[in-house]
Amino acid sequence: MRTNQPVSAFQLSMLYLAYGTGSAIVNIPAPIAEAAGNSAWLSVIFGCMAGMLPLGCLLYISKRSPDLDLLTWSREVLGVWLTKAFSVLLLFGLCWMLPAIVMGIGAFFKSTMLKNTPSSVIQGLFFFMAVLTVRAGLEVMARMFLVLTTSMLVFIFVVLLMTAPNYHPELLLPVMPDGIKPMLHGMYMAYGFPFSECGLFAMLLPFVRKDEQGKGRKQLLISYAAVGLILSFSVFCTIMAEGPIAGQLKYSLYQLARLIYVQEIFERVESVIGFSLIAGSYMKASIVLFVMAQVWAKLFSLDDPRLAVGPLAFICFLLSVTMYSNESEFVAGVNVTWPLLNNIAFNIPLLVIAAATLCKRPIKKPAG
Amino acid sequence: MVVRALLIIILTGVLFAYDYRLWKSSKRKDRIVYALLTVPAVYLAIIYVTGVDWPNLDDFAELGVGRAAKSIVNAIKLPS
Repeated sequence: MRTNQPVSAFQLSMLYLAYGTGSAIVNIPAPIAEAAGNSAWLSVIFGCMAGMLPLGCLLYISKRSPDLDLLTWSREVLGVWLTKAFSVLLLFGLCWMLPAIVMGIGAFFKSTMLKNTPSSVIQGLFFFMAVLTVRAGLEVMARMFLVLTTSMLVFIFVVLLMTAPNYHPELLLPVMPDGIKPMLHGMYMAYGFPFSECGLFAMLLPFVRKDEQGKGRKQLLISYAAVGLILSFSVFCTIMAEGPIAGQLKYSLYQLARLIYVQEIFERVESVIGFSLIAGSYMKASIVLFVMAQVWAKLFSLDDPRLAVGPLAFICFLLSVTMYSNESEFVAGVNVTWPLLNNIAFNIPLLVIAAATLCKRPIKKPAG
Repeated sequence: MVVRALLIIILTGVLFAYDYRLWKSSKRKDRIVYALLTVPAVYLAIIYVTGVDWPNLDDFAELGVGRAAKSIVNAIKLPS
């Protein structure tokens, strides 16, 4: 990880697109459809709207301190000790989040492709790739992820398009047969994963080139809205194709891809969705590891965060193989505990720093 | 257990070999912080290799916000 590597505003927005859709696009349609039924796509839209609060805070902080990351700015407005407490909270959240991303991909491999391979091997390889990527630096990540994100989204849209003959729009109705509660439940889950996780980008915004800072904020907002639309659309299509059983089929986009059948020459293309999930999870894991190394370096005022990347990834690997003894506990952890945990770990510090920023008067530059 | 221990030894070896050059050229403070990271790694490695039921991060997460999160979900989900 070379330090001070600037990325363009467009690259930052693509990084967010990779981070936001990443593992979510394949993982969230099923649990949200299970919780919210036909209103799942609405849950995603409202979850996206709720996530605008942390996003607004991070954009405001970035506007006031374009050259400083969240923790350096926090040091200026809140002092050293509160910033250290926030860093520890952030690290706690990140130490839960990174293993969970990799555990998700491990569970996917275990249940679909590599049924007899131990999860530790799959997860170990993922962490190894993430370490190499993060050590290469943010600029390399941004360039590489542009290709991967584009191919991931193209594959997903092709699959959603080719499944069109199986869509039954009548399955979308009634939208809220059991009232508003299931929709709120789905919204809680969608808000927790992935929308409220956007606060971590406060650590990446200062890496945008100085002359593109304003553009970077705008493009991040556009990218955030695009993530909301893409996820909502994939949930929408899943419900149209699978109807009431959408919530019971894990990795619903993967199941959707299995329905594709064109004249016996084009079928069983689910591996394309497998690729999307693998690429998405890899990109998200790398971005989270990068942020984690940054936070660790800020906590101990280190000059070079690169040295921490390997040990942090090793700790997260060990967490991924020791946390949650079974899959149902893990799923409950993601859908129930994580939305609240990430709000406490990521968004409360963000809100406090934004409030302190609001109270601190901007430094007026001397005229002339 | 032996396989797990071997995996940990191999991974630790790879990690140290990979980091050695950077570690050697880094400042004393960075090295101390690096050493600090081995403490949770050793603790987790013991849990992984021996399978002992020691407290882990998920237990702390549950202890901290688990009950509150369940209350939120119970308030908004339909009774099954």
